Amino acid sequence: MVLASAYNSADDNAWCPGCGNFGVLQALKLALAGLNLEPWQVIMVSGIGQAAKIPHYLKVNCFNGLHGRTMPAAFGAKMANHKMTVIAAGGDGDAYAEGGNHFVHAMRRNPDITYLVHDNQIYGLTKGQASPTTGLGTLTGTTPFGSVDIPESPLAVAVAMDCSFVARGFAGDIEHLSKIIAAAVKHRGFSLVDILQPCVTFNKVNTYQWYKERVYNLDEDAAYDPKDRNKAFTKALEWGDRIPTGIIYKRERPVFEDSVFKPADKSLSRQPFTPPDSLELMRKYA
Amino acid sequence: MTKDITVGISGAAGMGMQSISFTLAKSFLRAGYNVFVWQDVMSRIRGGNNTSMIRISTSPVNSLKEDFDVLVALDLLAIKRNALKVKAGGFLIYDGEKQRAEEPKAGWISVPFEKLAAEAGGDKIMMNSVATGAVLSLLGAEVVKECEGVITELFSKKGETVISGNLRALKSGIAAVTPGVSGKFMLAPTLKINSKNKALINGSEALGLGAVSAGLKFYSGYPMSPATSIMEYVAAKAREYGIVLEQAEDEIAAINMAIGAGYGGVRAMTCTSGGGFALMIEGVSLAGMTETPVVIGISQRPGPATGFPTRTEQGDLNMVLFAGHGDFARVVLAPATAADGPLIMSRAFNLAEKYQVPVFVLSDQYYNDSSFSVDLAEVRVEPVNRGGVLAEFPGSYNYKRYDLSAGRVSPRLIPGAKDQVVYADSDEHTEEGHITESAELRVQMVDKRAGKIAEIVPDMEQPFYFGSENPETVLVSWGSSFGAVKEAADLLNASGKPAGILHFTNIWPLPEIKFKFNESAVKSFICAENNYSGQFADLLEKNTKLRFSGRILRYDGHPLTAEYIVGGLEG
Repeated sequence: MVLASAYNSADDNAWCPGCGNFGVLQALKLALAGLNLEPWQVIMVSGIGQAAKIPHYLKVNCFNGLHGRTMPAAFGAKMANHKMTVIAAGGDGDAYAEGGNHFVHAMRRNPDITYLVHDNQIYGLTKGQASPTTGLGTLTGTTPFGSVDIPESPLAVAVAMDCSFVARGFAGDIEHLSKIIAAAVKHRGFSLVDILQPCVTFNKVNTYQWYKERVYNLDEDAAYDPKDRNKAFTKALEWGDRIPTGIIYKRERPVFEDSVFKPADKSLSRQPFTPPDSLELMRKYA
Repeated sequence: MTKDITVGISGAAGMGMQSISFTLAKSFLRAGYNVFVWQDVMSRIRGGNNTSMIRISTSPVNSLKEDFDVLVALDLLAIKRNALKVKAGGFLIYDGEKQRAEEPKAGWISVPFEKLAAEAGGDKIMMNSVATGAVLSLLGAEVVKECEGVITELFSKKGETVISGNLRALKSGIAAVTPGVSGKFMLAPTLKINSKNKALINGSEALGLGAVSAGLKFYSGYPMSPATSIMEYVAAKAREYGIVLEQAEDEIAAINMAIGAGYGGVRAMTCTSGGGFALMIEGVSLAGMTETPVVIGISQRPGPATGFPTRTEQGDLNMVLFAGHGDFARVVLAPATAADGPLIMSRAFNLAEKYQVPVFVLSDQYYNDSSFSVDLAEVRVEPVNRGGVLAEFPGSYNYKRYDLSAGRVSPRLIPGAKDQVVYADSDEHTEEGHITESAELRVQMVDKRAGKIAEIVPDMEQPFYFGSENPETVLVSWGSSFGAVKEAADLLNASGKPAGILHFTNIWPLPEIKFKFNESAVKSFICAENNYSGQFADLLEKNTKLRFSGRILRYDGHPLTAEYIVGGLEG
């Protein structure tokens, strides 16, 4: 049995006191321990931003790459190690702005990777500018007269892309979030978990209190069928007085790895190194 | 008797010039000649005017001539654009019934391609075999048997009717050239070699093949001419050799995928051209910072921006040398010929893993799209050196990815090792791979990454030298220009002007150059490059004792030729 404490890291934490990221970190540790994964069996890939520091605060394999480039790096790491658990993490700017194109194509590709997006609707590390999910009219450093670009609905985008697992969590509800993350990791295919993550320093609108008054647990609604894509689309767009958390959409489909690996194949990185002879390949041109 | 001949096959895109040139080249290769084929194409799928240029020689040949001895014009535009490039005494083969815009001139031979094709097999497309036959008739009927064999192989999947139709079309093409003219360019006999010892392969195939045989396990790329054909080679082999290949959404994704796979522990590559590489540059510095091995193939074409997309140039050397923010080590290699492809690729992957750096393989449209005669006995590779990559590590959670006690290259552990985790970080980092704010560590880590260059230098190979021991002129070149520059030096020596060629395939870091010729005899070092400014000459002048008294540069989209270089020396 693996304990959540097995994932503790000695690295100094650079998050603000009270940051929503702490809730995500704790939920992730609980989820991984619950899945009985050893730290060395997990690779985390992240981009840049406060959220993207999360792999350092865990004991796991980590590739902390570039802002926005989390998905491609995670895909490469997964293809070299398809028998390992690969989890990607980053913020809303990382995932939906700089990484928007990669996010869309990751869903098309459908590798067995879980993507945790810490969505605080603001740019934190650059000290308070608008993000793709910032609400209309919000005053930020770069929108002094209020944000005029309509916010993206990442969950609706994911449902539209037929993403194989689409969920929303709330950093203020660690227990539910850890269940969602565990389900996402267990799900075979690309899983998006958009996490409502209060930024206590720069987002004075979407606070813990603001979310607590609005979120409800969709997983407790027995009548809701996450396999129904049309209903999932409607649910994904629900935002305002009531905000659903839980599994919005779920769909089984072949993963990318199925197109290249047989079930018995070891990870590429652990296969014997036996390349073909160049002269033999060249003879085909004689 | 002719020892060296150049044939052009010209027509609209889609008319089959490449299939005619392939058939001719393969036939002459099998008959023991040396052949070289370049494709001069326009950026379009149908129409326009494209020309395949085939050079056939009794001596080794890796370059082109400026003009044609024989031109096959498949349509009217082909005559209009290329008739003036037919040398005096040469021949232009065309369809006098179909292409009747001009008065025929001396040396124009009308062969009714379509009519003869229809008679031979009932299919217009067989005009390609008629045209092939007409060329054979001028160059030497000795090769007809080989040509029949090549046609039979080429159409083996299309059935007996297609094969026999094409063979009849070939014969009627041969017969269509009048007896007084046929054999006019009869090639000097050559020793017929065992055809299994020679291959006709283009540069892209040679690079793809080199990568696969170096143990490539992951390829990601976004299509861009002229690099796409490397990706297509790897794609065709991916299943057989257990390679994961993915077409990325853009070049940014492509390089980040390859770096992710490199971190993951496999040999990974991405290839592109200059514009695509511009998008990859952020990733280059990620590889430098995280010390992740990755091979990046750049097949140059003339820029800037979209540029002259289907033509050739060596204009991206500076970009490759300086791409990426911050200081870190890199390696740049540039193959000279297709025979060189596997060696360069095996070195690229070895150096990438040995020093944990990005390695660039710099080619160009001329290299990628040209078919070279490769003597299989000359194909070499460097034995695999994976730089001591580790699958397991003793102890429990005590591995340090950037261990400074191990020198500039720290032991590289593959993630997934029991009871160990591997942290790689694009931020400045501690030995463990965690983010740091320490100025002291910052200095140590920069010294580690950038200082590797000094360790790589002794691993770099000397430039080739060919020519006189006491050269008055030394031509200096790099990469794909080898064939043309070598031929220019040969021409100078043959005309009593002692010359040599100093040619580099190991571009950066530069080795400590040792001259294999009498330096005191040299009156001038001249660089010959396929770009506007002499980018490699600048690099050499900055970093070596070499100083150039002249630069022969070409940037019209065409490759360097010996004639161009000799003309430049005289002019």
